[in-house]
Amino acid sequence: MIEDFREIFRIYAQYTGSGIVMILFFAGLIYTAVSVKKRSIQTVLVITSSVLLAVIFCPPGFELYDRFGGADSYWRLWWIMPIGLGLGYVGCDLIKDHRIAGFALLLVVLLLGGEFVYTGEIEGLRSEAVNAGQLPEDTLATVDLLRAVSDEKEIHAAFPGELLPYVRQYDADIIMPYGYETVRKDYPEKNEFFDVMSDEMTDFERLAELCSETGTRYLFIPNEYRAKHPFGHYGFRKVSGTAGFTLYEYRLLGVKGGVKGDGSQ
Amino acid sequence: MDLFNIIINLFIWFAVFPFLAGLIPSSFMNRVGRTVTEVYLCGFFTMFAVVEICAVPSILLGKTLSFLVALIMSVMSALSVIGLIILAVGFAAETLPVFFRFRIYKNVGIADGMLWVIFFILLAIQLGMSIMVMTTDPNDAFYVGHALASVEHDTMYVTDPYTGAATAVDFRHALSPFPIFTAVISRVTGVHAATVAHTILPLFLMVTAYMIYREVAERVFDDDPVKTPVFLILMVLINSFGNYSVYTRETFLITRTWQGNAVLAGLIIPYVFLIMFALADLTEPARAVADEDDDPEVKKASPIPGLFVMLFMTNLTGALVSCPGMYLLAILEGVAITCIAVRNKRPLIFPAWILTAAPCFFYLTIYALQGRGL
Repeated sequence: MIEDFREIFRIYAQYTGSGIVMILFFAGLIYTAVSVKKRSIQTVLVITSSVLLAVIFCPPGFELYDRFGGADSYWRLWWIMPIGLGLGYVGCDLIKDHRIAGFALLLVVLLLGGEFVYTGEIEGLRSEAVNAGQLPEDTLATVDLLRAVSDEKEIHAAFPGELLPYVRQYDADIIMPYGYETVRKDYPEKNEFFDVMSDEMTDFERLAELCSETGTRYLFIPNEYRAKHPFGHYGFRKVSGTAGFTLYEYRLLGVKGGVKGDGSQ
Repeated sequence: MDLFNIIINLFIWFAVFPFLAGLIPSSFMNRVGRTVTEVYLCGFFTMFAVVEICAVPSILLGKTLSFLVALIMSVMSALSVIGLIILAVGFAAETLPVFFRFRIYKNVGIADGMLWVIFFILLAIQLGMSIMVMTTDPNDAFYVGHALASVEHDTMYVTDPYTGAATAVDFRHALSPFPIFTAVISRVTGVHAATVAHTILPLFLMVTAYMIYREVAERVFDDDPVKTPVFLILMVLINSFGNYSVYTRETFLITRTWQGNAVLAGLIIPYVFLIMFALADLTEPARAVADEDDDPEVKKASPIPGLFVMLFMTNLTGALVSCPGMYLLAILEGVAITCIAVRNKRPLIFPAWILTAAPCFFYLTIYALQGRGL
């Protein structure tokens, strides 16, 4: 029970950041309970929120959620608290006739307690949008290059980790031996192909075997990576490149035995 | 497809369909749901409910995206025709002034009017930022990946979105196929699925979110002409500065608008609160339905059944956008309805809610059967 309570508080702290916005919300609820007479506001904003708060902080409820849903997504429960609507309502009620001062005060509070959503932390990347699909330019460059060098409809290619989330958002006919799931924190299985591709000393001998096993013809490898052995000995050729990545083609796909280190088949 | 056709198709899907289909549920809602915004919101959630009802069986039966697009278009066209008939009857019976109650605020000064101007400027900036700032969420590998594969291969949920490998239908995710809506819009407009998700959907979904906030403001401030724009300005600011962690509702709404979870957090949950505010108002012991409207014709009908119809549509929309979200909706609605039923001494609204929450209970049962699966 105590452990569950600690976990609920940890998740609360994780969700609420500095905690100032949440403190404002709780203060707003007390203000509404004391000073607002409208019955429906009392029922939905004050009473319902209070019960929801009790539900969220209830250890048996947390255990039940953990059993069926998993504690790692318990933070989502904070979405059902009307934090934004409550702050908006109370702010509006307080500002009343002192709008400019009220807005200025609120802005200061939000600046101190919140974080500007366009500059604050997010889980992905943030930059100026340079294409309508809002995808990273290096992804478009690599896929466009693949399309330029291959006339196959379905292209089997392997990419470095930073491009994995985006390639198939741009072209669903790129087939990959491993995908974004490989780099997800919650993915339990290791992928050898990805591990070899991520090694800064590229092992083309092992890559040749992996390409044969998975039917992968093309590899994009970061320009700064170095080859452990001459890649040509293992059936690879350098095709072209983009600003950040070099495109290699495995020429012996389907050739029995592949190429050994001395260049013989 | 040329720009003209893209605009026409977007207009049909995000204006004509929701508005005309929304006339059906809103005609059962008395004054609640009879302004243009309210009709649109009713239709918006009805359209998503239709997508859920059509998409899930289609995916599980292995149908093509083309089949689903045709099915959804047929259903929405039929609902729109019914909406047109309701509109025509309204014209003939001269009841349109009730139907289309454009709120004309009286005694509003220039300073108060400027509040609306400020709000629209702030909203335009927020919409502009959604186009100009790229926020790439890696989870889009799943959402946009599924949508694009559906469009390019004319299949649904039969390829691994991460790698492109063929796979069996992913039953759990197929129950909440919001990426398929992205695919449908991509198919009918001819616009790339990534562009639909990252550039087009945020515009429509964020505007709809502010429509919901507006209706909440009208409800909680009793149509106060000054407080509504002040509330909306505050909501823009709260959303803009709501990134106090990566998990917040505001962060999801602004930076992941096109994902099902963001629709749940940013649109569906606020809309459930709107319905709860309305229910709490309308079931107050001292308040008769007649208080809601001065028109004697309107006094006859109670809007409460209509509100429950919309709650049902909202729950179906919840099912479309997020399977785990059904937990949240069940808890939120269960608590709020219980509070309203007890405080207003209206116990019958609880069994009414049980019926409307059927999608939540269905999904909860599936989760219970699956064990850990969130």
